[in-house]
Amino acid sequence: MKNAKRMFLLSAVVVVALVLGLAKFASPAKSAAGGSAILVYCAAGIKAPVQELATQFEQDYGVRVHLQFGGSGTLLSNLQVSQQGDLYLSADVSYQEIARAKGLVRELVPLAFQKPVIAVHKGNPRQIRGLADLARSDVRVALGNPEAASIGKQTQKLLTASGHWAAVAENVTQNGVFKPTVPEVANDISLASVDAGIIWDATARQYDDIELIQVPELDLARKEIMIGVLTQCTQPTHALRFARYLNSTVGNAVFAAHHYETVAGDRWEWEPQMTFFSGTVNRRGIDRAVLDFAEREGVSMNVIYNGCGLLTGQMRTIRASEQATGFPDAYMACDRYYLDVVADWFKDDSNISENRIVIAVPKGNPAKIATLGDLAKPGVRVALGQPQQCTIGVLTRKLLEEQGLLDAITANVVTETASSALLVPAIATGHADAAIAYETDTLAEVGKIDSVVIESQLARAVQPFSISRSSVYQHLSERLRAAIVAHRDDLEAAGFVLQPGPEK
Amino acid sequence: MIELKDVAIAAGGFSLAGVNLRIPQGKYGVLMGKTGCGKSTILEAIAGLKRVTAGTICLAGEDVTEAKPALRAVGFVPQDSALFPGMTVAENLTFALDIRGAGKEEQDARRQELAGLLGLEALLERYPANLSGGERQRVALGRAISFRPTTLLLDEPLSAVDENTREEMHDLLKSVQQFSSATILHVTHSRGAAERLADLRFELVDGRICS
Amino acid sequence: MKELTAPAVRRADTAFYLILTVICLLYVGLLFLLIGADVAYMVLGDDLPDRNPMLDALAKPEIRRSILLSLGSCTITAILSVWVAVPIGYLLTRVEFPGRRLVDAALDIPIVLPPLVVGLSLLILFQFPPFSTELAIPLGDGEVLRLSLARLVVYQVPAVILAQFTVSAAFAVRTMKVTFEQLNPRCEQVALTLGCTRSQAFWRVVVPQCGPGLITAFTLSWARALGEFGPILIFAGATRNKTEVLSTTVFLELSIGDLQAAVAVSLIMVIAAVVVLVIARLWGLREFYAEGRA
Repeated sequence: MKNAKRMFLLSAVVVVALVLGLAKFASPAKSAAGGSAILVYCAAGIKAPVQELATQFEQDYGVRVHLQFGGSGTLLSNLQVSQQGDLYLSADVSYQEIARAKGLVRELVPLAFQKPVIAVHKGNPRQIRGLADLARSDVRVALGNPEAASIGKQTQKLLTASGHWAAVAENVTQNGVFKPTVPEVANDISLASVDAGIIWDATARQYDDIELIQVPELDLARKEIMIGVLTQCTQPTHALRFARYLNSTVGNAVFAAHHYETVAGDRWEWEPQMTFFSGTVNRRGIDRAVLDFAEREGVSMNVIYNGCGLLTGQMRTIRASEQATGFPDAYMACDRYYLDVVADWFKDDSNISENRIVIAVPKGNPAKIATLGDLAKPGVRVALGQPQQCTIGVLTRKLLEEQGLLDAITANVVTETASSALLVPAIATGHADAAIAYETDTLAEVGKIDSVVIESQLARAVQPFSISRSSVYQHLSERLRAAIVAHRDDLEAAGFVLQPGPEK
Repeated sequence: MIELKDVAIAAGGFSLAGVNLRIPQGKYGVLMGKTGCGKSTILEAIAGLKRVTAGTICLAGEDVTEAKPALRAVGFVPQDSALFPGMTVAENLTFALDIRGAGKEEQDARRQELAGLLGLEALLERYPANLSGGERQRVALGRAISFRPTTLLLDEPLSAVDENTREEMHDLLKSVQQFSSATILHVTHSRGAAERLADLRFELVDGRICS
Repeated sequence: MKELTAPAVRRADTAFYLILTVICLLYVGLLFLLIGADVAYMVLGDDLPDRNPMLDALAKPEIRRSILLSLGSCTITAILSVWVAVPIGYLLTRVEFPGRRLVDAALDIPIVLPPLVVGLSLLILFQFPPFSTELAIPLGDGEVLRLSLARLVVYQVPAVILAQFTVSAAFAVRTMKVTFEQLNPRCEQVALTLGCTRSQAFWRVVVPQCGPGLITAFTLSWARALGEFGPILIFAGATRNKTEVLSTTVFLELSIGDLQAAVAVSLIMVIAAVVVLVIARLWGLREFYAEGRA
């Protein structure tokens, strides 16, 4: 080595080259924003804030946002006929539900709330106080068309429930008018071509010369305004980005400026970074769902699979320090037990799936194990999970205690593993005769392992999905949950049993 | 010249104190003493490789007690030659000039000069691992005088050399003295060398120098 | 007094060599048996005997990424470790400074600490300022770019390198310290008298003599980095397609019960390591034969 300095410089060049290589490699080619366009079907009543946000989005990111306005019902027909379009924003959730039921919409992102109110010209010259007044023959009333606009449908529903519909509809037909969209109703009131109408509160607030009257029968219909990503959308990532933009704190500000009551939006980032903790057991069932979700949403996901004991420990460490960097946005435990210990930090938990606990034995079941009691037979080498370190350990202990077998089996235990992942290998390599393990783990080595069913209510683990209270990506996390549940095939193929969804 | 005044050195397991030594410019001094009593230590101190705890060292009229080895214009030939193993003989010889930024021609000229003086022409492209003990000492000598130091320190340069070659080495050292006009301090435990070469003789006994 | 006879001496020597050979065979044999067992498990346990699990593994893009990331990060780690080990090794051997023994002992910490503790400690460290201090740069329209060391490192690729480096460098330092201790200090001293500053003596005389030591330090660090698992899992996560390296791949495959894939990836690791180490050794030895030194 003649010239040490030259060697050093060479090594420096190598390091720089590798670092650059890794940097490029670590951030896979981001889809360029420029040059693409999305089409949004937007209910006319929500035009103002959406228009503003679309313009801003275009300016900042170069994605052109084409907005097509109309009544919610009309738009729904349009998009079915044209087979084009990326997003559908209807004025109320019932149209979204129809769209969902028809399979037209995939993800729904909530934006704000609205409710119907009675709108009158400023000063309320006709002294209108309640719904009954709308049936008066001296009051000209404009309403949204129940077939075309969601305000119309809502009005019909609510007034039918309160018993006012027949009279009011009669009045409208005689003296007033049915209009296809909310702004048209509002305009009529503003121009005083009619005396009163029923429109959304947010729309009403946009006009200086309209006064609104809140009425308990109408308050019942406070609903979320949601934007839906169409199934026929060809660029879901851009569509979801715009939807997130509207939902985010940036969108909230604009909606609020237009007098809307907004949802608590997610933080806005072009490419958010989400952290998701999951028990190792879940991996085979949800891995693909999570990856697809990340790709579709354009999100950079940190997925940490580990034993739940380790995960909750990590959570505690992070919480104990000042900065909360690294605390997960969402957490799917191997069992409710390991959610309950950190329940304070999470909310909105729902049970995604269930996983049976079985006795894993070598193929052919040479020791003829049929029940838990057989594990106490002399000479049977048993592998269990350690109760302090892993979920399977905790659940096994509870199971054995319930059956009164804990002491009897203890003598036969040859190893207590720190993770469920190590139980099946113990059987596969012939070092134990039986292990109490998750059924899903045994399915991977079906050639070497048989499983014996355990007759007990406690022989199961229930996997809950929950969202961190402190997460800035609440809605995104909610969509992650939906994505996991939607990939039911993966979960079932891995051996999980899906749980019925929560009542929404 | 080399002058040590009341020099004290703390080194290893023993310490020297009150060391006084004076060799006039251009003269050849030989220091003798039993093995392991501190002769090498004194050389190291003069070269600047060991700190002195008291006293002054003057080389060629200048007080170098606090000076770094590079600034003392001292050539040092250690007992084991300590040639640079990754460099050829030629590169070893011109190392000092290379450090001082001498041009290629100057280095070539000096190399030829030293090779001629010390009989190294045939060995220039060899590596130290392929040299005999005597050859190595000659290269070390050449390296040490290559930059015309005012002082030359030799630590038992003849210990690795056999009987027959020793005579040649004595002659060589004499011619080196004439060539370089440096003040030389040669440490040895051989009386023969002392008799042959020395202008002045010193003996290190119980930590003190006597003439 | 016994007579020394030729046959007796011969028998004694033969017995001596025999014992040495047996001990050697036992350990080396064990190592080969381990690898053989892995190969056998992978090949025999297959339900589909005509598929090669190693090729299957190599076909998956995540595994290929994992291999590339491993190779890249281990090389960077090894080079950085050597950069750090040379000055520290030199400092510890050549320079007297107060607290030298303390520093020496401190350098054993990463070797003695369980790897998981190293990873956890790194994670905790990055929770504190200045690692966690965030710079919020407003980019207009309510959008904010948040920068902090923690965000750039934790759970990202730099965390893999940092986790590997923390442990590997300690091994490199140990190696370089021994290398410097074995060098003849006289060469350096002579260089000083010939007119070198300490820096010049270091680069032109000391470091060139360290060749074998540098190679050993590099290969040791590289190998250690490849095998590092605990700290990476905790500090960098084992995120598929992001911070997954070969050692965590084995863990991930194991954790879903896919033993065959785990073994296949393990064997890929062994092959990768052997290839790199052989290259490094051959290259290093060639440099030295060229200089006429064995």
